[in-house]
Amino acid sequence: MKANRIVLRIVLYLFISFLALLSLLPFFWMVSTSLKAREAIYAIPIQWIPKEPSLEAYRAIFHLTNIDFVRGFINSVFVSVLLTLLPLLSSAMAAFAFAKIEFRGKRVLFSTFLLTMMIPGTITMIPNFITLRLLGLLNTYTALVLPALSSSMGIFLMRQHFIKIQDEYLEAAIMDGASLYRLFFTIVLPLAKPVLFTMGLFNFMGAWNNFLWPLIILTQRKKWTLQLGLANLGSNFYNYQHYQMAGALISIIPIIIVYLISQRYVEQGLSTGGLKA
Amino acid sequence: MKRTIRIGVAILLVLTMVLPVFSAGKAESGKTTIRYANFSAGESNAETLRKMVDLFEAKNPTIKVELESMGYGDNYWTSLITRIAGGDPPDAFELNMEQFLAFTLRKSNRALDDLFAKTGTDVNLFGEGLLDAVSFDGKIMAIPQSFSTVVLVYNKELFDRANTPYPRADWTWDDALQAALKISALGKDIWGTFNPIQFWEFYKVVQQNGGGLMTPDGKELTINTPQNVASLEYMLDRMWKYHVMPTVEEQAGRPEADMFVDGKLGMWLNGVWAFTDLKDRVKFPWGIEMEPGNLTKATHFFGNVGCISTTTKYPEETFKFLTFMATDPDVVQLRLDAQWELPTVGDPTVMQRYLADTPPDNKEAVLNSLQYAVKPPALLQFSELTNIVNTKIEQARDGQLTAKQALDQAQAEAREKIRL
Repeated sequence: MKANRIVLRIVLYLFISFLALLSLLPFFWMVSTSLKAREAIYAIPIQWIPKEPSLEAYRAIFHLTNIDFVRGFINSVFVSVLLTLLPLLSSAMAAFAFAKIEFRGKRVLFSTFLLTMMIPGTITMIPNFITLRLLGLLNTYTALVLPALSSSMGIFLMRQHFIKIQDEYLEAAIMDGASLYRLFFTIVLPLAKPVLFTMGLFNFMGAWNNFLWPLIILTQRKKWTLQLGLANLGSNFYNYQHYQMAGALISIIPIIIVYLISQRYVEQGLSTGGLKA
Repeated sequence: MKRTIRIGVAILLVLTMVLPVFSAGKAESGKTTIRYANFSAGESNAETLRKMVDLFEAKNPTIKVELESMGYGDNYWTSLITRIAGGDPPDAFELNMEQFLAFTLRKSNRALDDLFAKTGTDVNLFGEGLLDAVSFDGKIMAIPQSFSTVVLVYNKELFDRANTPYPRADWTWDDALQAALKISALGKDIWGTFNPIQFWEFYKVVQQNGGGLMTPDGKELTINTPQNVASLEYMLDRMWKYHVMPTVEEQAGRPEADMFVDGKLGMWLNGVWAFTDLKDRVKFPWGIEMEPGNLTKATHFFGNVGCISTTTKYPEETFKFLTFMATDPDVVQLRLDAQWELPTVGDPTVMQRYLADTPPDNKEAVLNSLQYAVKPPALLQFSELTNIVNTKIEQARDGQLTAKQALDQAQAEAREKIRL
């Protein structure tokens, strides 16, 4: 009986380790490609470990004619921070209203919000583009942030969390003369830290990897984010996959940093923030 | 409480202050700014493109060109199509020949005949056949910017060993086959020729045989006509009947370029872009010639063209820019120096340096091939047609269908699914 269990464990662990290795394979391929010279990228047989590894690609991406890697990196950080914090604030405010304030038409409004979750983003792309064109906002970062401010997903998740906050807390504060702003900023938000960090992390990752919308909105190269720059390295006749992989590897660093910072809260958030549904 | 209000107000203030900063800058006064979306420069020719535009701006101080350069691939088409659909097209945009008809059929680009007349631009500035290639319904729809043709590349050493004369410009299918047979006889894994068996090759080969995939008026599909069936049979026979070309199994995943470099292919079709690579890698003497035809010649032509948006406010300035980028002598020289495809000017003297750069000799074949350039069939559902026909051709290639069966099935399926 016991021996059976141990064997089962071993098989299970072997299987899981195999899956883990499998999911690491593309990552390994990235590292390997980034260390290759161009001729070696498509060499057959495949060179899993480059015969003549070099860090040339890591140097070269900082000296490209078409793409300013450093500028793209700074643009990406800037855009991602905006796209993390502003939607967080707007969603939290809306969610607070939906969770704790009584007003007419609340249910209808909330259902409408939920319905927008059913519409795929690709369908709203051209209408959004036209709206922003009419507002004269094409080629601006505002055009990246504005559509993200009404995130129905964010509002929904936070509302689920806010609803669980005991009304007694808020009533006590109101008794003491606290305004709605004070309720929101000093009581509700601190209580919602885990869900805020979780949402924030998702926002940041989404913003950092965002591609299609910036691709359409930003046509001026100096405003490009890192991801646009990396994707537009290729040309008719040449490949720059080693550069792309080197750039992509560097671009992972901020995600890792942000994850490490918010990790503690995210774990709480995932278990208590209504995400488990 | 006051504190939180203050924080709230501060956040709002910061928002209102920060957001407008990102708005686009206004154009400099007294200057017309035109936007040029392009992809063919990529990273490798970005500097050359910048130099070309600088030349233009220096000679046209009232026009400023905003380059919207992207890499080649889906990104470019996604961005361009959305911008056209969303009402914010660039004034000028680059297309390749494969996409040119699709955009033209959707009326994204304007006809240029009036601008040729108005600016007194001579149509003879452009190489023979090039303006025909960008004409649609009798109107010039784009300015050809650069082109590449496909030619027959051959291994002189194998021809010598097989004791057979080198290809000539007037060669037909049969001449090529006779030479291929002799070369294939030289040994195992030595092949007379390599011509891929797929849709792109097929629509060209049928035209060499006097056929086509549609009637000239574009109202009827003619995929399975007798001369088309004969064309596909000819393509297949090289593999199955005469054995002068490797089957998929015999090729065993080796790229054709490597097989040629290793001296295993007598003849091979490839674009002029391959010359640089071949020059580096090929150790034996090699040459080029126009592709053999049958009843007539037909060759592949790849090119990038500049289009003017239907809605641009500055058609004349944009036209001036695109013609400059194609024909100005300094621009042409920059293009030749960078070996960034071939310039589209007709003046033979500018090509002297290109022609003189050997190997291969007989570079004239590159330019002469242009006279026989064929266009892919013009229809909106082009990619669907490609899929239908290609699937059947590949089944024939793999021996699952005969040429006639494959084309009959393709015709039936295409007739059902494609509206003309």
